[in-house]
Amino acid sequence: MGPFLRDQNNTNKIMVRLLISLLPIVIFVIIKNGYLPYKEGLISFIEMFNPLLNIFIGALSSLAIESIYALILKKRNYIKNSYAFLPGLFLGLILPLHTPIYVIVLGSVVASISKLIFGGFGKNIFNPALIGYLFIVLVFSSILTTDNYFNEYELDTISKPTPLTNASMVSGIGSYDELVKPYGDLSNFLIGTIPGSLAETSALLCIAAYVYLVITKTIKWRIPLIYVLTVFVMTFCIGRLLNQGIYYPLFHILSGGLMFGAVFMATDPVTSCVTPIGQILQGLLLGIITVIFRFVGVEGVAFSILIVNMLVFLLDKIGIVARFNFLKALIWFILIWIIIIVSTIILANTHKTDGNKDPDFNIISKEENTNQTIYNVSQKGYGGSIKAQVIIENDKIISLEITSHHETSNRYQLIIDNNYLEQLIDHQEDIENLDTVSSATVTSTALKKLVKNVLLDYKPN
Amino acid sequence: MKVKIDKHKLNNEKLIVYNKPEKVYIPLISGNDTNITILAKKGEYVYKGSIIGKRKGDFRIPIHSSVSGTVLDFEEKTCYTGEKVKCIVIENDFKEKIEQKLSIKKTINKYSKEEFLELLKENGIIGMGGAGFPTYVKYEAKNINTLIVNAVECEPYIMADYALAKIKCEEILEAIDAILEINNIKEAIIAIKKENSELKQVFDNFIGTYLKIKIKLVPNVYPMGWEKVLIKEVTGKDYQNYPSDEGIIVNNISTIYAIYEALKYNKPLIERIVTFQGEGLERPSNVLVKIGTPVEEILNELKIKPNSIIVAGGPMMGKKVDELVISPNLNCVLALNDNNNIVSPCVLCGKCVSVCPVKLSPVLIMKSKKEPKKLKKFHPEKCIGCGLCSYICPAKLFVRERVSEAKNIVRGDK
Repeated sequence: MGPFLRDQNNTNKIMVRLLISLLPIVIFVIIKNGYLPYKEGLISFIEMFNPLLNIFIGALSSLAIESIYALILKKRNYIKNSYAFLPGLFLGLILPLHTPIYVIVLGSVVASISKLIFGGFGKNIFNPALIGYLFIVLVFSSILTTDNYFNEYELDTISKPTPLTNASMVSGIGSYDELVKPYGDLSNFLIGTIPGSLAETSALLCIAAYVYLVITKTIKWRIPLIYVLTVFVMTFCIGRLLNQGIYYPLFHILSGGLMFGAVFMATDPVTSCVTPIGQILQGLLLGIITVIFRFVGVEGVAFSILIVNMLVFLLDKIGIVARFNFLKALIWFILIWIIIIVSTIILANTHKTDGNKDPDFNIISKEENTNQTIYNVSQKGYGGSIKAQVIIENDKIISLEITSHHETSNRYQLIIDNNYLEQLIDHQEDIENLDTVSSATVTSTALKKLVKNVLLDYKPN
Repeated sequence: MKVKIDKHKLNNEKLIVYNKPEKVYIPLISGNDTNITILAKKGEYVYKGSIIGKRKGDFRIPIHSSVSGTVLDFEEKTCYTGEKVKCIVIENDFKEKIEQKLSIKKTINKYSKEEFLELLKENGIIGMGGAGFPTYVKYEAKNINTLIVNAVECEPYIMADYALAKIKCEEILEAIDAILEINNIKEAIIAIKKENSELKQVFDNFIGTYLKIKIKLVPNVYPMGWEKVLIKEVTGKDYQNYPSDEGIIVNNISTIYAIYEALKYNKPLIERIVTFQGEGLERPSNVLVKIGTPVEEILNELKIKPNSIIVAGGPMMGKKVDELVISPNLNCVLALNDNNNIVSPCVLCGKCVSVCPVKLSPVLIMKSKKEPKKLKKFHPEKCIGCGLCSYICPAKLFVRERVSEAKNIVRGDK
């Protein structure tokens, strides 16, 4: 059977190119999370290769599970063509640096099983790595906390949680000083010298990988492009409506797992659309859902991709109709654009007052005496509300006392050990410049906000 | 999207003439219609050019003997479709005797339209580029304003039109000019691929005196030679059913030359140039052959290597065959190494979707259930069998075959 001429390209070459495009990212990860802390004398030589260990453990776990599957079902040839190591490898790349090995193993096993349930390679509906990730989020949520994301060098130098957690603490909207400055400037976001999941930080290397993969015709180029553009356009509009500068959309497209997810996860051939129009719709939907998730306060890339995975089949149906008659698909484009516009406006409006009022802050009681004002307030911390009594005398806080809290005891101990409450009183004039307590960043940030919010209420402007 | 595929150019420009077959096997097929009335009897002596069969039905195109000699028998032989077809076996007496014909006018542009159509029909002129559609039927259409001469050579390897155009350039231009005048057509455009621009230079030497004939270079992509793509590229027009809807006729170079010989010498279509190519041949060449010649003789002449596979047609749309006889619309025979590509599972990369020139979604057709109702939405009946989906598939699947199965299911339901 013909044709008797075949393109030189084959599935193996596609996978090799995918791995080649990951190589610079892996090298960067080792330099950032291994070499730099090692150079500073913070970790041992062996620990330098921890990032690599994560990736290998993930890949090997996945490979093992599929090998067992192939052995049991006596499908000898299955394993040759199933690229079984990929789910675990990708999972290793999107988890925090300090994820315990057993969690990576379990996650990878779940990832591979999620693929095998559908009948194995080429048949799964959901991106396997992201199913593994979802499993970890649900079962080991405490693993995905701020500290695990930080390498030893960042623990010493950065006094904030990861950029998106930090942004979610101001409900997604914040000034340049709040969102970007704690990590340097936007070039740090671009290069990737910010805290975050293992391979997700370097937007630049993700873009480079994208360019390479598109030139070599390895991935579906429309999906990442439309995805990132949609996030950019939506956050740009929200930023404009709330008087934020161009830094705001740039912060959004450069932080979190967006670039990595767009280039490597959303384009997973098996779980993405095959028709061009389907791919465009897929990119648009991914963008919308990610932005909404981010304003709700979670990093939504992984969940957006999984949600859209379920719709791929429908989007391709639209794609087929559109191939023969584009006008018939136009209604869907109009619908999606309406969703974009409406959700942009809603998101912007619900966050309008946030510049002045913090939804995580509550005044329980306020007692105004002749020369003293006594506040009883609460502020959302790491484990729940932190309640405190603040006394202001002569326009200055003279006392700050925690009345109850749900922070973990060692975190709270760090606050006490560092005399952080005294520091807060001392720095009440320039609270923004006060460093947070490392390993208790969320708690200390919450306390800073508490002080700031009390002063704002006492003395508007 | 169209795809650029390596040309696999034939370096040997010398045209080989192979006119000594001991027996010819004239396939009783016209286009893809095997419903032919046989007019020759066993043991009868036929001349070169004698009518030995005639197509039944609407297009009563005759079939001619390509040699003079005795009708031996009827035998089944494989022809360009890859299937066995009944053939008339004629033993060549090598005398090349021609049946006495009425004298004909020598100036080829002095025919009336009716005479022109009759000459084309009686000389069995059919489209020599692929489908073998009777040429006179195309010219029966009214209000034709453009003749596109297809010198594109759609598939890689094929160089038959190129070789013919190079040596018969003046005759081809003369024939085009005559066709324009007889049919009152405004202009002719010769479409040549950019990679064959030397051919344009050859035409440029003579084209000065033919004001109505233009040359257009078209991109080096596949399937550029397909009528629909070619018309779109050359004129920017899209047609619904037939090119004549837009006042366009497409003929390829070989057909134009066959028209020339019919007009000038009243000569029927009994020989043609065929490209013999591929890594299985030591001397790949363009060969002038008689219709009905068994290709084995020619392949041996060109030193075919052992273990080669024979393909009737180009590498994209051709069929693998064990034996083969030359028919008027066969432009290429390949001898290739038997490369068994290892098939792997589909990764849903979507490449077949993006290359399909008729905008099908082959991967989804392949994955969907084989139920006519569900398949209909995918319109597999639009498939032209160009093979790009299989060509591009990184998993080396036989995508086109799956689509044509779907096509059959849908057609069976209608």
